[in-house]
Amino acid sequence: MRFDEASTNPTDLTGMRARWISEIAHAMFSDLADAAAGVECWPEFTPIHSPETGLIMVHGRMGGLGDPFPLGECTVTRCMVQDDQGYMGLAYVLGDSLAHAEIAAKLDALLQHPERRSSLWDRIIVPLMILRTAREAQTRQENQRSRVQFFTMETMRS
Amino acid sequence: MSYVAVKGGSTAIQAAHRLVRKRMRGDPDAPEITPRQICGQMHLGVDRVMAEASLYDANLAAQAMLQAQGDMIEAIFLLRAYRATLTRFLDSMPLAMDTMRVQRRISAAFKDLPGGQQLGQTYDYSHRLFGYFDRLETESEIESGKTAVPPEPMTSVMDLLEKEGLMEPAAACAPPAENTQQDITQHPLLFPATRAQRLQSLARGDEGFLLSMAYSTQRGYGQNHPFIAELRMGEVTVEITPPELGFSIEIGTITVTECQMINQFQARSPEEAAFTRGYGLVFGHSERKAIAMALVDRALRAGELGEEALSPAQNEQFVLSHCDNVETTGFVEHLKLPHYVDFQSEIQTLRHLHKTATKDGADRV
Repeated sequence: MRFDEASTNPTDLTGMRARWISEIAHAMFSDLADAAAGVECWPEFTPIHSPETGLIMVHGRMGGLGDPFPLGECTVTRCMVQDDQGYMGLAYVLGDSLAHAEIAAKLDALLQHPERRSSLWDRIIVPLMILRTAREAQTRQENQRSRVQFFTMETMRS
Repeated sequence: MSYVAVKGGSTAIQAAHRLVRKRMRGDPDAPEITPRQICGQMHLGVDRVMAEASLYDANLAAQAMLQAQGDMIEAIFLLRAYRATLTRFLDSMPLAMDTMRVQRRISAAFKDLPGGQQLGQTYDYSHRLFGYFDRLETESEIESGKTAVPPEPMTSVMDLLEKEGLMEPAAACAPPAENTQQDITQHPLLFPATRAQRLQSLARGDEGFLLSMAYSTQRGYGQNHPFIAELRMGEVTVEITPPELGFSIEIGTITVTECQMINQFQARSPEEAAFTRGYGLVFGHSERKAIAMALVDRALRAGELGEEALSPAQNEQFVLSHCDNVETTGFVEHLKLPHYVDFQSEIQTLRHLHKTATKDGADRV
């Protein structure tokens, strides 16, 4: 989803939740911590699953499009919390940052509060999305400078 | 052949390990290297450790490299051992390779291909001269000329060939197998292996071993006749569907290198003649390994393609049983451990043999 689409505030809740969970997971930890520091009125949270690092097996596809095969594992950190209004916040984040997963789970719970969703989306998710797309664009542009057009000599094979 | 438990030596062992600690630190007046520096400046080494440990975690891999004092196989061993202490939560969805944010994409088969070629960071076409790269200005110093490149999709070369009927279909390259327990970390590898098991083994296999096996196919011990259709390096998004949610979410990105290899064509009839596939996919940026993996994958398909498997690279039991450097180093290096009782039995047998031989000889005179 592009940032301009995101800022139109999708109404499909599942799609929107998948997007915010993903965006929070993709965020650089420092950006996420800064964003979370600006949030006022955190509810009380009860840990359901304290942050824990484990593994996921990543699958590739044979030939890129064929049947799946196990490629190798990645560390992943998950966390689950419940807030005082009963909303469950869940996080799965690649890597082994317990702090990242904990903030992510709390934000997921908070974003489920209907009265806070819209402002949190605009203040946290959209900026994180802008940062991510900017990072991606920079890598893309840097690498695009190395695009190449090879020429072959007509006489090469004669 | 086995070694036996020995008692004692704990003081000496501790002293030996303290020596490692001291040697590991190097010159105490020089600043200590941090894992962050390793990740930043030795990322290709980090990538190799992650690929062969079969665990993607750059920070842990960098720590392992430091603890192993740069011994890559020791670092891989450390990371693999650590992996065994962690719980497997889930399996990911298969990586959507067509959505890779490509940094490098080249083809050695076509010079003009949809989406074009992009060299990305590469040592290719460089002179292997010390200090050569130090003299180049870095990206930030280059004026950021907005090269507005139209975002033409990088269509897969293999797909184009397949559509034209010149490439065997991707789906046909994994014949249905009786053995459906695919993950070799959960179920022991049995022979004949499935292609999924072969690819998993190769993806974590030792780069040096695979490189030599791949080279042997090029030198005539195999029938690949390869061309690189595409070599890509970039970031792909990892997606999972947690049972708690029931829908899929993205949890981060990993860097991978993918090699699509076009190989010798085959056919029962001229109309059916088509090139055959070899596939390499590796964690991190590792082109040598991805290319080697694609060559060995193709060589190991010999049986399925009706070729006579005469060479080591075509023998899956040979290749798969010896490509894992943690297993390999374990068995080779265990020879350093005490084998006193074993050896005593051997030496006694030999002494007895000599004694009887001498006596028999003496008797004969």
